[in-house]
Amino acid sequence: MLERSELRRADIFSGSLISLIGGLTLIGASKMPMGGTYGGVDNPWYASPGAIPLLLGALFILLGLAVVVHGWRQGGGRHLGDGVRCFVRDHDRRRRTLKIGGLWLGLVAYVLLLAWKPFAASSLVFGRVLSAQGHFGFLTEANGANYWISSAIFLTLFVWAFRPGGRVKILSWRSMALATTLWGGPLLLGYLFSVHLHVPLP
Amino acid sequence: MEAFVQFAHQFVVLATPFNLLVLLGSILLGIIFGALPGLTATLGVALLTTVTYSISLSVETSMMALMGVYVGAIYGGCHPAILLNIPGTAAGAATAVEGFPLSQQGRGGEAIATATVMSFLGTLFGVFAMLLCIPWLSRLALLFQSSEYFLLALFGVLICGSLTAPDVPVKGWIAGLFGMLLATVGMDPTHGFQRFTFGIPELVEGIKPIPVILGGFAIPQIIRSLTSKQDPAKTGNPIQSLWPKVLVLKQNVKTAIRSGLMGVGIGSIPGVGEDIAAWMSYDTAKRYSKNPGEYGEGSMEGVVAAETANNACIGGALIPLLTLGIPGSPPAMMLLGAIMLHGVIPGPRLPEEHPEFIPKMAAILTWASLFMLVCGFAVSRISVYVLRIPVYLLMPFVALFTVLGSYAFDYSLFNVWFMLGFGLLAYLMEENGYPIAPLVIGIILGPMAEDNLRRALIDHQGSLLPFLTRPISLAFVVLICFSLFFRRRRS
Amino acid sequence: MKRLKFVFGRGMWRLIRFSPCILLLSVLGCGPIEAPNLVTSGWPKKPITISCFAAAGGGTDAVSRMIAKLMKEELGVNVNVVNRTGGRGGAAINYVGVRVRDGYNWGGFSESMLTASVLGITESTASDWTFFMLAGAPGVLSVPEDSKYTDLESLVAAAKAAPKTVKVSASLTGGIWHTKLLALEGAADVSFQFIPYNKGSQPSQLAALSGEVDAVLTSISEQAELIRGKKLRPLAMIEADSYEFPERGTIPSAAAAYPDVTKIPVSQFLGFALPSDTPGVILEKITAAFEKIAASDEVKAFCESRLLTLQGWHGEEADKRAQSAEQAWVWKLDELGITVESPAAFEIPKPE
Repeated sequence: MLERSELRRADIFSGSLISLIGGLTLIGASKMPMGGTYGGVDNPWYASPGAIPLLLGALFILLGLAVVVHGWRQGGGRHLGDGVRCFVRDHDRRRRTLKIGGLWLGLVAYVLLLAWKPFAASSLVFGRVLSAQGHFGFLTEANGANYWISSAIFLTLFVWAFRPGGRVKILSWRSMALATTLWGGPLLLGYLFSVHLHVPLP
Repeated sequence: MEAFVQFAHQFVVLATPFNLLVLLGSILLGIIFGALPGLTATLGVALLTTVTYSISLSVETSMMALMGVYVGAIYGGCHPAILLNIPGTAAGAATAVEGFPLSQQGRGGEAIATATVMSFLGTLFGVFAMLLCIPWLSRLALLFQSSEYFLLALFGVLICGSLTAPDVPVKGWIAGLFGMLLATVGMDPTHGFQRFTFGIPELVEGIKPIPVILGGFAIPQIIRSLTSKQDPAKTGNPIQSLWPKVLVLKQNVKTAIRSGLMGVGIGSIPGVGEDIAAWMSYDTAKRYSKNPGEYGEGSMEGVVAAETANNACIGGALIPLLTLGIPGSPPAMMLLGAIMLHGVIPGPRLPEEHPEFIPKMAAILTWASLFMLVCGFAVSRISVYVLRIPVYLLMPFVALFTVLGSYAFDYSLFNVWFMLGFGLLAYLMEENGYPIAPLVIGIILGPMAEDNLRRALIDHQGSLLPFLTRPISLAFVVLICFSLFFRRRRS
Repeated sequence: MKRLKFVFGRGMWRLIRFSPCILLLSVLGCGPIEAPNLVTSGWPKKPITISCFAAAGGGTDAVSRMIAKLMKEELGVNVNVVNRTGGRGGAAINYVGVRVRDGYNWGGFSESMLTASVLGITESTASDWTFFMLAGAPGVLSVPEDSKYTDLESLVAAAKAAPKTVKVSASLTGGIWHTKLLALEGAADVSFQFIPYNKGSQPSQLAALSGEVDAVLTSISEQAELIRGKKLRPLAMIEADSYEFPERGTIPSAAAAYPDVTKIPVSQFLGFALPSDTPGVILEKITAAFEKIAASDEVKAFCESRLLTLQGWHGEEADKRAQSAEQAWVWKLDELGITVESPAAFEIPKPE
């Protein structure tokens, strides 16, 4: 959670956003059918599809305003502009935000890689070569091989990016063990899931 | 009394080496399923059904395997909840609220051990309920109509909302209501009208709980762990004891009994499962606690309450399942399918046609809980090592499981995308002081609340009077008013 | 170059440098995989997956699992059941619909997939599939055992005397049992108060037991134990034929008094389907295995214990049934206004 003074400033933004969501919900809900019958079921106003969204939308506007008022009273309004200025100037905070964003985008990239067909096709070749002995037969399926390679790449890059600083020797027992974990882990996982648990892979 | 004799007989007869071996394997599988984010009791039971059915095991052995997975998976969820603050279910979220702070204080091992003992006791509660109260509890299911279901769901969302708000209570309510708003997405259950789907076919069925739970709990935890300023290797205190403290257990006897009773009662109402039971018993425990100040900063009592109720639900859910053929929760639904595939048809005639079946299930449940106790202690010795793995190595693997888990829920990448997007939203919400647990509870219970409210209103031509004239309804209304009023005065 | 090497580390850099070669190799490697002649000869060679569109534990799922077990014995390869329940079943329909037509992906469907197109869930209609219907249960209208209604006539008379007061549950809005209830309403010219319950048939039946509704219309299979255990009393089959209930004698058909009940020819079926453009060689093999399964003792015993009616329909017969049911049903839904897409958009003809 943010620090207290910052939180009160953030309240003004989050509260307004919630009121906005409430407003949009009201608009959406007001377009829903009401009255008569719908789908063969009676549709009076109190039981119509839009009734609960209307109620929730109205509550959101009120509760959002309550958050804004609470934040304003506790002094959140005083340095409203500072928030943006702080963000641009404060090196630490900017770095942290970028780090969080990067982390999230990394996850997104991983899923994109899983869903990317050409990559699946190319990982299939690896899979075919490796499963020549008859072990890990699931690698001959495009999704099996793709899952293994994308996951291993993701793990490697993530561990690389978030490891604590300092030089790492590539050719040491430590990093060999690490590489085995990072590449063997998803292989084992994919094998167990697709072959023994009958859970299809992405 | 006759039931107990039958039970003792079955307890001995069932203990063949082969049966027990199958049980051991399935309990371990269940614990692993419960402990890994995204793999659920439902999936575990479904997978084992295929196995037991296709190799034509006997009914007893199959039931051993299936109950083993069920019990193990419900229990196993407490490991990641306590150690990593990543609960696998909404019920586990109650455990995480108290368990994770304990783990940060170095009492994670003890918390898991206590949770293990309490899960064991909770399951035994269910067994006793099955043997003693089956005629009464199976009637309880028939007393619940739409108005009661609505109030129960509303109660669940409200208590969770005001229990978990770290900043101001209004933010907890907003989170709970936001969950209910998200729950309106999709085809509306009463009229079949498609709300807020924006033409996306995947949204027609609504937002699924598993991606929401994974995104809401796991992703913020991954972000926090990997980007916190402290040296990640030094956050955890040394792991102290791996055994429960006898004194702590003694102090919590009352809490355990109360939670066990609540778990059995709530479990035996069809469609109401572990989620409400865990939060309701957690709320009650806090209310009657001698040191309510501990709550939120690591209270063993809270863990006891949540875990006992959680597992007591299993026995409770079996009651309407066996006597009415109506399952109480999604894994119980799968269990019903499995029992029927094996040729036993649960229903009102079961006690007459197969008088030995209910004591048999009770005996299987007892064996399963015994094995769970042993396996739980054994597994906790391994699982606490998770804390020694450096975060930069552990969290990418957690992310891997999160993605696989939300995919394996119904095998569509849409859920994975949704999980990622929701995860970022959940992180931002938590930063701004909005709790996630009520949101998740809101998504799970929202449809139940809305559907039943609207049905009750259609049923009574818009009159709210039945909410006050039906005795159970009235009791709930009083309970809700009491809990809201009581809390406001104290804070 | 040196800078890049520094950034990625030596090991990674090597990988990156070789990546074009890897890509080239892979493109070459993929060529022969999808060639069609390999697909049909010696089918089946690898495990078959049944993507069941209903959640684990229900009737569709149970039938899929039984088919999987028996098909494994007939075809000699593993058959797995996977519950792809997303998007109200649309996930399974779409998944199977876009696979290569190699016969390794089947859809575990029931009759409710026929409405998926007009509900905006999928693009495919009944004509895109070839169906294998193993079994289905007829619909029955029942009242609680202590109800004051003793037969269908008294229930209809009560509803006629005071429209919209007799409450009937029939699973969810637009589902098969709701449609049957609408057929009954049309045929008997009455209006009941329909109370919808989702999540399968059980909540509807529970509502009848708890007295929240006066009558319930679901499948006889799901009501069987409650009827045998004297919790529910069956009034009439909402089907063309009457039904011999093993323990409680004949249940009359509603069509005897109200012949128009059969105007919407929708009936439950549980089974599987493949895209209709699957190679004929494969379909023949599946058909042969399906015929053996439908005649097996295990299926008979399964149907008997659950009061399912054995159908065993396949090929043209099944497809015709599916298409005529689809026409009547989707246009009825369109009339009720709960469709997202008009049936006309899918070129589904309107029945007379």
